[in-house]
Amino acid sequence: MSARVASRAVLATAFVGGLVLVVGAARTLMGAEARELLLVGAALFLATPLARNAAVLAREGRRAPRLLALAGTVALLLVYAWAAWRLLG
Amino acid sequence: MEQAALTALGSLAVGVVGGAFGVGGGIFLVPLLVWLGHRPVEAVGVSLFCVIGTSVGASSVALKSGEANLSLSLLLEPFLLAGAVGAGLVATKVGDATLLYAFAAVLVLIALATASRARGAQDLVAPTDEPGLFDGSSGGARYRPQRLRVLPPVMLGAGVTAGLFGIGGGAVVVPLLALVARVPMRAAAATSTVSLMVTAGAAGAVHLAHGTVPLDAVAWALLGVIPGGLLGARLQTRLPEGVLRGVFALLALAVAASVVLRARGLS
Repeated sequence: MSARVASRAVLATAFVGGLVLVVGAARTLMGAEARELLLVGAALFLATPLARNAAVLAREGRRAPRLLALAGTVALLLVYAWAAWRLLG
Repeated sequence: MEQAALTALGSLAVGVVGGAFGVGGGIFLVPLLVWLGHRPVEAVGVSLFCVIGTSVGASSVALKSGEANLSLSLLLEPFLLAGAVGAGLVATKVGDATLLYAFAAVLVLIALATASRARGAQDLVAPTDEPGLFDGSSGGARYRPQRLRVLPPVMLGAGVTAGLFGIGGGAVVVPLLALVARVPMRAAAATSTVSLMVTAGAAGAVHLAHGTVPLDAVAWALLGVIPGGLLGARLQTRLPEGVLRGVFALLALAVAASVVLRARGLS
């Protein structure tokens, strides 16, 4: 994966998440119920750091940075799993 | 409608300032949202989401310019994350006025730390011939970060500040990287911008799980913060370091004073 593609993937994740959030907020502004849409947008938006780490893993050739990125990704996934369990459980 | 427009416009200004100083904007966004009527803990939740937005735009610019030290950023992230998550778990138990007073105190400390760096900021250590994993370059000058063993506990503390006050850690991470690790100010700002995304993501998820993130406010704030952050990051690479430091310290002090006034109103 080239640096440009990786960078665009991160930006696209944030953009789509942000867009869904804005649509949800606009619906709320018009008096409609949009809690689920807003939650989907938030989840997509929170995926941005994961996309960033995936991009680092894809393009970084050195062992130590890859291991650091992997450790960060695992820690972040654990936090997200706990948050999802609390929200949906 | 009026609230949404004010949030978006205010966040645009916050995004420019945050991107320029590599602080994610949280230290200015939280007071703005409190002024707009949100509870401090909700403002912190919104701010953490916006820190991700600012960081997305600003970090792509920071990485492209070569100022961001990605290896150093990856080293700091697990510690920032642990601190931010721990603080996020207790943030809902802190009273509104207490949170604001503590926020103001942190702002004053940040301003003082930034201003005090004027004395020996450029005391950089150049790398030896043997390449180091965390070596970087800033403005054409190569440097090697120092005291890497001290950084983890320091970054844990910075993460706590991030999770509790929604400031992403940049306002704390930038001065700490410069003071402790002797990273040039501009490289420290760029590196912290890259680190902020993960820190804010983890703390934001904790706040979301606690139900303290008004997601519609997040949406309006993002509309301003993201374009503002892109613009601010371009300013970061153009402004002289002395100007960055001075303006940042003054702004932080002014915002601290306004936060104290608001906290007095709440208590």
